[in-house]
Amino acid sequence: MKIMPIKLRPLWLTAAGISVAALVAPVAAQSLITGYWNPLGHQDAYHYAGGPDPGDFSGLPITDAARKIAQQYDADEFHMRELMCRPFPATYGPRTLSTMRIWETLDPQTQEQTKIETQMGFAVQHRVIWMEASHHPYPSASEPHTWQGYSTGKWVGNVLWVHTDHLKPHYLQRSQGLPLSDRTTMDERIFRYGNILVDIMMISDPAYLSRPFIYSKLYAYLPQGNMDPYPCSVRNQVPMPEGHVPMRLPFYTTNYNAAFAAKGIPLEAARGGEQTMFPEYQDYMKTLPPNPPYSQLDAEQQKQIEQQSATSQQKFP
Amino acid sequence: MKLRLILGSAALAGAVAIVQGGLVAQAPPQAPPQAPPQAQAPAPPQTAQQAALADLTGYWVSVVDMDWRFRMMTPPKGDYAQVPMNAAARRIADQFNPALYGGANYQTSGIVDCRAYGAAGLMHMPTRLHITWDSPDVLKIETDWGQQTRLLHFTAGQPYRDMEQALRNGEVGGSHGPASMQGYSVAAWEQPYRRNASFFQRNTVGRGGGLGQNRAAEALAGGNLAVVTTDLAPGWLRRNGAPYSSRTRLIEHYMTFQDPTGKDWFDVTTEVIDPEYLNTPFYTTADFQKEPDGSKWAPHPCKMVQ
Repeated sequence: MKIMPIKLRPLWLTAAGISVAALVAPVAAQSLITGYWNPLGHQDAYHYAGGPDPGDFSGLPITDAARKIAQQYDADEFHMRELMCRPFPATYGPRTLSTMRIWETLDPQTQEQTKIETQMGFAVQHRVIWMEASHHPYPSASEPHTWQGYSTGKWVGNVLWVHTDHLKPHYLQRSQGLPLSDRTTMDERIFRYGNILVDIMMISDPAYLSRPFIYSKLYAYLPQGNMDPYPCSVRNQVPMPEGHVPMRLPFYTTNYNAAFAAKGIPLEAARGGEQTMFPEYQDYMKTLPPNPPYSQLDAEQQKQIEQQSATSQQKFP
Repeated sequence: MKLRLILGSAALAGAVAIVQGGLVAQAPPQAPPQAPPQAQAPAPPQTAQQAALADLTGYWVSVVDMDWRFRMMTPPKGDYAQVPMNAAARRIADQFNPALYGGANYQTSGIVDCRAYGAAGLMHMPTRLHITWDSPDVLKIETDWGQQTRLLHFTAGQPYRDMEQALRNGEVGGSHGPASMQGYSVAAWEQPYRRNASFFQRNTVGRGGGLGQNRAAEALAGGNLAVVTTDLAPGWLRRNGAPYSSRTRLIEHYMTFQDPTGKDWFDVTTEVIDPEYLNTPFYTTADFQKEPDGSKWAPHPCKMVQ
């Protein structure tokens, strides 16, 4: 075996060292956003508890069609065995009270990000964001739409741009019955300031939203983060006749509870629509009549429930 | 021989990596000859307007689709949900008198106390903004609802800054004069930092001697505006009297973006730190959409209550 001359060795070793270092140096976008993130609960806290009040759509750019569907919603549907373990969709999960874990996968050779994954603690909402380097094929039209949809991502500066589609028909937010169609798309801008993560969600739906619903959600970095499993088991919490589907018939026009009434939101404002989102709506609200007392609202609702019951019995003796 | 082959391949790969990765970027072979440093005329310092990383000027409208009942109307007396207030703050807030703001209709009367338009709550209020350069280093924000004016002061000759680091170093956050509703705001453009840098390595210039430093110096698109406000007079975080004190420090970040229809927006993230009335910092966001002109500008005064 021939030994390399001593004077050449440093050159070869330096070159070898550089080549190894070049392979481990970051080559493409790497994320600042990996880790555990805790949702900050200083805005729209109802998303962290039982959900918003039924019938309160103030500030939501919903269409008439969406409102009509929501008026048929009955919160008891949550007790249907088929719906008990229903997860949150990608358009709603990040707005709720769940720790979020974000992690990345790098190509072992190029160190390019191929995918970023997120998981919300509640109901195992696992989303994959395919990055450009993955060359992952877009799902065909025949592939099923899912709760989390199909997400692609790219870095623009320090901001992660994510586009999501291929979502199954779902809902804008829980406990209200507001629908979103399978044509819904979501564009996100995800970035951080120090230990605060911002997720700007832009939800578009030509069927049920009159303009994009723009929502910015804040998370705080959680250095001691962990995530427990979320086993969901189906059990009867509220007795319900076999085959019963809680819903309200189309003529049902009110859907309020006492918690809603206590907030003093004008009934017309609660119908939502994009006009309620702008400052000038404050002027319009001055002209609205005061709400009737809740006892009157509730009596009207009870009357409609009885009417529905009578109609049902006529139709299905 | 086998060893030489291996090392030879490694050297070749290293050379390719040098070319592809731009490890020689600090001394590019095509760079023109440099004049001696003493012969160079010093570059004039950039103004904040010249150095702007985003265009925030123009008319903007807040689009209120979150916290609607706290922002678009006055919440019921005693409803301070989500605000991390302490007991002292609650005692003050409970003194809110609906009779001064429309009586039975106080929630939707549109009569709003000027203290709700103090800097710590202002960007959360439904309003239009008119943002202009008051001078090359001062950005001005005017509101139609509440009719307030904020001045964001950039440090002359230092338009870029890592505001968090500046706060840690005590370079910002001190007092600049008497207290007022809008206080004194120090602003800086925050450049994108290297994506994989740790918290303590966020300078935009590469540091250290690692072979990966070439990427630390690479320019990235974007950036945001950071603002620190002090010298605040006591004000309200909510229209129903949830207070903040004169010891409050406000930290804001403004980021521009476009929605899927191509409309321009900015998002402002607000952190209110008040050791007197808040148990933890209070974080909120608000999103503003750009408008083509000021045709919808509608001044609404607020109510001064002694």
